[in-house]
Amino acid sequence: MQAVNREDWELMQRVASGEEAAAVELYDRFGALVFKSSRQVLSTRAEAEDAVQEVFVRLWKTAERYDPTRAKLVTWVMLIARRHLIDRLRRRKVRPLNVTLEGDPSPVGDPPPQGKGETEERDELIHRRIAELPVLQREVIERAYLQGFTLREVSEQLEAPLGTIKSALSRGLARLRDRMSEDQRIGKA
Amino acid sequence: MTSSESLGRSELLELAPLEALGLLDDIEERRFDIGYHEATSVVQSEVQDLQAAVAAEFGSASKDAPDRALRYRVLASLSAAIDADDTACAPIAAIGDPTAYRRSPPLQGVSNAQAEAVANAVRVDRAARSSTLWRAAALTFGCGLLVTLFFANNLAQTTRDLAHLALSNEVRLELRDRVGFTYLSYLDSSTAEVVALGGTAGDGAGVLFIEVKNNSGLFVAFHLPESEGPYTLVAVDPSSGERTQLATVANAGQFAAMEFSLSNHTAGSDFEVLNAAGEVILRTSLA
Repeated sequence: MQAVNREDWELMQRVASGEEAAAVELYDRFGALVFKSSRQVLSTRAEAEDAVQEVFVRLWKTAERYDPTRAKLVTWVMLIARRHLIDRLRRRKVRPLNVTLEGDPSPVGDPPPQGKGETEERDELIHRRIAELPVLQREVIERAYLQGFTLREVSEQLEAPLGTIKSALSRGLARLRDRMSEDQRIGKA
Repeated sequence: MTSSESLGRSELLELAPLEALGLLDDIEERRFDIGYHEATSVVQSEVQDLQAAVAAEFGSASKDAPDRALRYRVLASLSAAIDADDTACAPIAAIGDPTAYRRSPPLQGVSNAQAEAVANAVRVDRAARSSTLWRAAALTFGCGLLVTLFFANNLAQTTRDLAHLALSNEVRLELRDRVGFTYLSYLDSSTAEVVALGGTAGDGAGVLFIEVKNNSGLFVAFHLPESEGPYTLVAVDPSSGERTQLATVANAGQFAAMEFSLSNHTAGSDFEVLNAAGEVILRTSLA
């Protein structure tokens, strides 16, 4: 086991044992990441904060299952967070807009929040980057990444083969990574 | 699944980002997992590195940053979850239990200067791992909001300027999860009784930690209007109405604490907090 992974494993063991200092360390390392992930798919800051709270309780409950030979801790944390966010989205039964593959780009995901001061709450950065993708990649990523639909569900929604959907998702994520790297390099992110 | 159906390196690397982001369904997830375990250690390392990079990149793709207050909130939530799971937890505070107080020599009083020092500076002592969390009584503000205080005492912190806290944090009627100061023994105690003090909206709130075995107590006040101080904690004999002064808190502001003696108390006492004009702004009863 790599040294770094072992330290992470020990941290999660301490978290699992209920050690408060370990919980603090875990939050300090990954709190921002979990929050930002939540802001990408949830409409309001308040919802994202609720989700962060729930994710960390979930991380504590699953801490003993962290396997450092399988993934680095950041991957584990992100996976737990993503699964929780997807569960949240599915419980809310968000439905995609009726947009064909030839349709104009439009924001999907949680419906825009209504109310005073909330119209600007949605995190725009990743949504702009997704909107810049080719149509199929954009549709797949919006439905899978932002709305929590499975690839099979997306395949049925778009009436496209599962292999096509998977390829579009994979290429779309690769493009997004490139754009996000570019954003980081020029200081946009 | 047989080895002949397992994933090759390129397919593993193609699916790795999807797996990291939770985008594979159960069948694909299982297929990926088998492929990963059948891969060489070199390929496994490649997958791990790629997934970690994807997780970090996508997780950070947002300009928004969490408030400092969220940290407190999450840690309080975790503490509560751990506390609920801990069989050695201290009992949840009882409100209103009538108790007969034994007479004992009164404790040394605390000067106003010391009280003000407490109000202006918070020092959180690192407690032993065996210390358990304490869940304080719910405070009811006159406007109907409930504030539940969680006190965690195992954080390594240097002296924190309360004024800095007051300036850097918005006043929020929410969970306050980390308060530590020199009277940690009351917060750590598994025998202290907790009594809530409430009043009308805008008058703040208070909580008493009463250590019967020591005939002493701790008064913690929140958001008392600064303009109406100093404040006096009094015990009221329910039968005679006689009032006994217990402690004085000056310039309470956002937070203040004062230790007091219970030697003159009898069971069933009411407690009140009076402002400088002698008006009752907070009250409770142990009856």
